[in-house]
Amino acid sequence: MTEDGDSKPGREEREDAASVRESKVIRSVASGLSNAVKGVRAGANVAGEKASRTTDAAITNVSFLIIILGIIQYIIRIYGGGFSAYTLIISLVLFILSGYALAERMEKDRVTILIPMLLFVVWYFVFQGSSDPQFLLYFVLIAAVVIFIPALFTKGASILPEAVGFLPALFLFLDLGLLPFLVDKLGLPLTPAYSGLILYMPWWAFFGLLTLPAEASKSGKVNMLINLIKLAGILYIVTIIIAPVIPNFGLQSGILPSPAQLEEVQAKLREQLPQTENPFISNIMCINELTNIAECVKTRQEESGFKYTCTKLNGLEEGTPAYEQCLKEEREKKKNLASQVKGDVDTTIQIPTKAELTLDKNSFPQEYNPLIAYTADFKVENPRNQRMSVTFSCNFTGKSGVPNVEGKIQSPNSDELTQTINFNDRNFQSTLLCLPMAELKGAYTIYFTALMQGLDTKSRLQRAFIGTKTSEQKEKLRNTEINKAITIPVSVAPAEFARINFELGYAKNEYIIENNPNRNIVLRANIENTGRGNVVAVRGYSFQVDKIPLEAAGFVVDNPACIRGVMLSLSGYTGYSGIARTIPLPPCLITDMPQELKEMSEDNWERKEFIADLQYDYQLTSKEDFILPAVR
Amino acid sequence: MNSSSSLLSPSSSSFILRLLFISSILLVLVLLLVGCGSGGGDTLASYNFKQGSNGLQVKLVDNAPPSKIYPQSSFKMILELDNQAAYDVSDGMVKIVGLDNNYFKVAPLEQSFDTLAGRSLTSPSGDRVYLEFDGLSAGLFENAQEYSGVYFIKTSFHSTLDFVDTVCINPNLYAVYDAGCKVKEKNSYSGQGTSLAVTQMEEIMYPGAGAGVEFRITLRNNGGSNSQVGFVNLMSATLGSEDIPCEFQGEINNKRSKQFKDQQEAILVCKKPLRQQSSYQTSLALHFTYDYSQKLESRLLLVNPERRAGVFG
Repeated sequence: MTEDGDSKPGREEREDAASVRESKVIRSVASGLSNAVKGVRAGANVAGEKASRTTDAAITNVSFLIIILGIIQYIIRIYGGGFSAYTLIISLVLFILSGYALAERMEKDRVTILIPMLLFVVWYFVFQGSSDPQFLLYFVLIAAVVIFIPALFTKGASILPEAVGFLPALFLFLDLGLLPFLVDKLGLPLTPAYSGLILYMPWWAFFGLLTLPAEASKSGKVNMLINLIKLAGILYIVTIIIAPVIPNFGLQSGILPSPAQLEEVQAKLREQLPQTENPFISNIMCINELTNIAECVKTRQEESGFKYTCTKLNGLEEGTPAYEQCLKEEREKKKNLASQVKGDVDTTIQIPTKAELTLDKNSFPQEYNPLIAYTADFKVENPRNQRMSVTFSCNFTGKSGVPNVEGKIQSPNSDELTQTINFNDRNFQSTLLCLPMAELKGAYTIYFTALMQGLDTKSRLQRAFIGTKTSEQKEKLRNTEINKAITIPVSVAPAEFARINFELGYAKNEYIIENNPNRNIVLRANIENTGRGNVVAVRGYSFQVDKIPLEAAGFVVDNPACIRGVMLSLSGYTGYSGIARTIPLPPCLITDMPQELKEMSEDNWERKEFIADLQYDYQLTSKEDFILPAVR
Repeated sequence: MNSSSSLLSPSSSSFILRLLFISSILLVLVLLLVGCGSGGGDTLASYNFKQGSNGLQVKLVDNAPPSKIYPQSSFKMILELDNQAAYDVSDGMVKIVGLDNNYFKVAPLEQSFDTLAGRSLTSPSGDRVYLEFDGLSAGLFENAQEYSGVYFIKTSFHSTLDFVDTVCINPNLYAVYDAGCKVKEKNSYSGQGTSLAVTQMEEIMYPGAGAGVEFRITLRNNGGSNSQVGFVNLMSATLGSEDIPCEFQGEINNKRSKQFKDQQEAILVCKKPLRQQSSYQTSLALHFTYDYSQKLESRLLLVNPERRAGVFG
């Protein structure tokens, strides 16, 4: 067989050898497991081996050059003050050399390796790595066409070299600092160990190592050492990839939230949603109502809301007369206009005022002893340091004919049955001790109550006053400015015990108010009990704008009770259950408003924030059933 | 020969030299590619400022206002007005709209500014002015963590626009032996150095006994969706040394004036009967004055200082 390879068999042999070398590139570069290639190569003929040896020698030289230059560049970067023009030039030279080294390994269509490299250079240096989506769309499309054309003419043979051509681009990107850039952009909390792994990697030297042939030297020991270093390099990259999931090693805290965190968020979201039937189920159940699915879904949602109120909030059993009465009352309330006003949770207030009254049944005495008390824990989060007064009481309600027994909250300086504590602490906790005032014998329900007085919850909403404008001017302002600036079109309040939901304007959800005497500006509101307790009294409600009362600000209403009032008795709103869920406030018409809100230039408008202030008393109750045997 | 000595063999050395030579050529090519974008050979003297669509650039100076404002603190809003147009702007006014007094009090809410010269040979970078607004923040709503308020800075001014182009007048369309100029039916323009621009001109010749020429000129606001052209007045229109009658399409009363309103484009039609039958080249010159307004959307962020201290976790 001749060395010049003119004969047909010679060409075939070289093609065989070439295809073997191509497969070697993938294995060598991607995995470093070149021994497998060696096994395949054993089948090649003598001429092929000779040609291969020549190419291997060239590749070995280039690879060593890359390793040496890579190490020099790394040293300059680490000890020479970081990134500089010198390191950039060396990086570019290494980029070209690596393309050459890879091209040498490709017998066929080696030029096509340059295509992805050039595409990268054009994108990164000419277009400054633009990440504009529209630009990227065009660029990727053009790049795809440029890559596809050679593949078309070579019947797909150029795809492999083209794919390999992305490797130098990737390594150049890594060398320029892709990983630290991503870490910085994504704000990942890295441990010092992991930061070190990412920042101090001689990428080009490693690339040169990977491109070395399996038998870079005639010495078996040297080859073994090279292959071991390759393996170590691959392990290094694997470490970088998997380190973030190793606890206490990669990231200081996980990128993904834990299942508990997810559940917490879900629960928080669920609490904020109306407690109604799952809309998906409602839709399924309404499938047979083909003519009016929307109405059917709405009705089911409403009914399920009523059901939730009666069963979960009022503690009634389905099917009982009380439950039916409760449903009826809820439906009636729905018809009341003021009751229809909805509000939302103010998400900017992440720490609302909260209180909790919990009983520990395990600590209850197992038999009656006049000196052993029943305990409960009261806890308040009071982020606004409101001054409040809490009166605690307890009693034992007998079951199945057992007589009721009064309870006394133990306090050091008082003989009264109740205990009152005043505080304005940010966090307040107290353990309550309740002693029965007579002997307990039989089944009881113990009730602990905490009546909190002096609570204050404010809600707010924004409106845009535009003066006198044409319909076109109004819509233009709405679309270009007001809808961006008005962020609270529906009243919001912190997720506390109760709040005022209110609307102000021409219609529901209309946040623009113009100077038009022919249109009614209506203020309507209700007090919604959003907690698990009871609103006992409304000590005052009022509306403000610019932090001054509405009337003082120049707003005139036809019914003053609409904007200011007191409701010390709420018995009319509690129904049979004793719990007031929605308390409608008197609606009114705003008959006049400040002059400066009526007259504005064509392009001017003004934003106003209205505040509804609710001062109220709220009672929390906690209960537990227990049975005590008679004293022996 | 061992592996290390093979690296230093004469054939290897020549190979490396060849490789470095190729690399250097490629590197030069890359650097040339990189350098392609940063050209520009025009000298100042020959530079035509009346091109492109640059107008009055309005922006807030970095950190004025600061990105985060704490309650009960004072801050400054500094507005930079940089006239990058090739024409002077006058009667300028800046208004701040949409701020909520509950959270931010800014004074003054309106300020006028003096005439800003446009870019020209004597003032190549154009005039620039800074306007200061003093701000004072109030408290947050209850114990809210933050309040983010979107507001708008509206700038209005008066300016001018000149358009000049050489046109071919050739009423003898069928004269195949006329070696004169050729009428170009449609011309497009990128701009005349400001946001309002003549973007297109169609030339229609009416041959024969009652020969005449008609120009349909498209005026367009290239300033983007946050800008608006008010009244545009055509102050003069000449074809060569003679006036040419023009009127805005769709106008009934004052046809040399157009209120753009929400439109971004208007068409001006100029018509003139021709006395001469042979072809010739001449200049068409138009001079406009106009009112212009533009809007900058921004946001003030009021944050709870306790959030900074980590009280809210």
